[in-house]
Amino acid sequence: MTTAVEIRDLHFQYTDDHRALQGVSLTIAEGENVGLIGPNGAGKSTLLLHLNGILPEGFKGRPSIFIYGIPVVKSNGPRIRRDVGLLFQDPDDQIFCPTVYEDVAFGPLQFGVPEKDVKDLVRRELMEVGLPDFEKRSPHHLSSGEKQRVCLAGILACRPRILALDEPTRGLDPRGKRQLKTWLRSVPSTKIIATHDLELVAEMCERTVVMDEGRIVADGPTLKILSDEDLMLAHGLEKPHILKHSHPHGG
Amino acid sequence: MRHDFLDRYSRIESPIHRLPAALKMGIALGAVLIVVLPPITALYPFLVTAGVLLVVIAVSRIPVGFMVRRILIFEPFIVVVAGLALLQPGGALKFGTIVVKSTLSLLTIVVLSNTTPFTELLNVFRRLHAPPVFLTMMALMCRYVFVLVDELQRMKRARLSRTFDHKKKKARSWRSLSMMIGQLFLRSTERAERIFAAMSARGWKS
Repeated sequence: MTTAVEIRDLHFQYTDDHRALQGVSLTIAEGENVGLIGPNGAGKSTLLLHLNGILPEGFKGRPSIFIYGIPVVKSNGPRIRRDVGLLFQDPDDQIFCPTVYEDVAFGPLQFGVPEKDVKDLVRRELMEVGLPDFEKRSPHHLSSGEKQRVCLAGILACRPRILALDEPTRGLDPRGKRQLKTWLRSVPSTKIIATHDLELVAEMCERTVVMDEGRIVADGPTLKILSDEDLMLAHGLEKPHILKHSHPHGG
Repeated sequence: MRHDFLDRYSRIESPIHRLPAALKMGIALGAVLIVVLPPITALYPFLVTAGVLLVVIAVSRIPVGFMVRRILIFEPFIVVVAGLALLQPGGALKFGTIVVKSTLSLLTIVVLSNTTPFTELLNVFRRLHAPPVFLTMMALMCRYVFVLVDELQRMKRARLSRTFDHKKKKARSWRSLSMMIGQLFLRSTERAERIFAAMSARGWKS
């Protein structure tokens, strides 16, 4: 099995001395769907920001992360950022162009895709996320769900091999969540989903990693982790309802 | 929340809206030059420009009331600046010059920005090989000015929801206004950092 992500003893400290990550080690195989859960401030977002070298700023320090065996260092920056697609928490941070077209085209243009191919690519990706003919729309006039999907199209247009999603269901209505799940299932990339939405994890991820205070405190099959009530309560989580009501042999 | 105070009518359908952005920009620039260069005593340039603008407004289907309101918002600034000229000898003529020229120039720009989407104007600048940094800054501004207004509005609502005492209003509201501006500044700085991270994540080379 090919290793997609390898993290070796990762430490990180914010400038205000807050120690966000304290020795995280994690290996993720290609094609795995991993749920990353834990209380607020556990270091989930910080960890995701490390996967493509946004943190530490300027790629400082010894590399602790390897994407398909390639160390995340400055000289590999463009390649790593193409391989790892990052979905940020707030769509308003992520959609920074004045039109939907320009935003989805941003990544491919940065990575050197010729302009004439970009046009087709953007149309295809927008179709893919269910927003055909949205090219000329201004992001400000979209609903939260639509913004979310523009973000996804913008990431997908870069053809990432690994998707790192930070709270992908935040602010979505039930229909939006359902669409997101269908869409996520159709994307073959390796996925790492940091979220408080435990039902999403239960449905989408076969493996779950629990973080607390900058460390990984549990790592295993989703069903086993989510139904371990003591573990969940100890780390500010709880057993999701869908597991409470299912039969023990039914999964 | 939706805002379109900058270019509310820039995406409606009309013969003027269908014209290429570069052409409209060229004409607007020409109109401003025609208004700015000749002395006020040469009446024709002003009458002709005003006439053309009125025709454009009529054809473009922008509501006249909207245009009037838009001009009235800026007119006090023009009048105050022009009013200073009244203090000099022969001030009346200068007053008239400043008011007429500024108002016509302003009207030209308001018509342009309401008949052409901002992104198309940016594209014209791009084709004219404007410096990329300038273009990026303009594009980011166009994207985030509305987000900032939203943020301000949310903060204002949050403040109003917890304002109970209306008697001591004045002094306190100045204080809370300055606090809000400080907050907005902080939030914007943090947002700028997150936007930069998002840009880097999709390959932006700083």
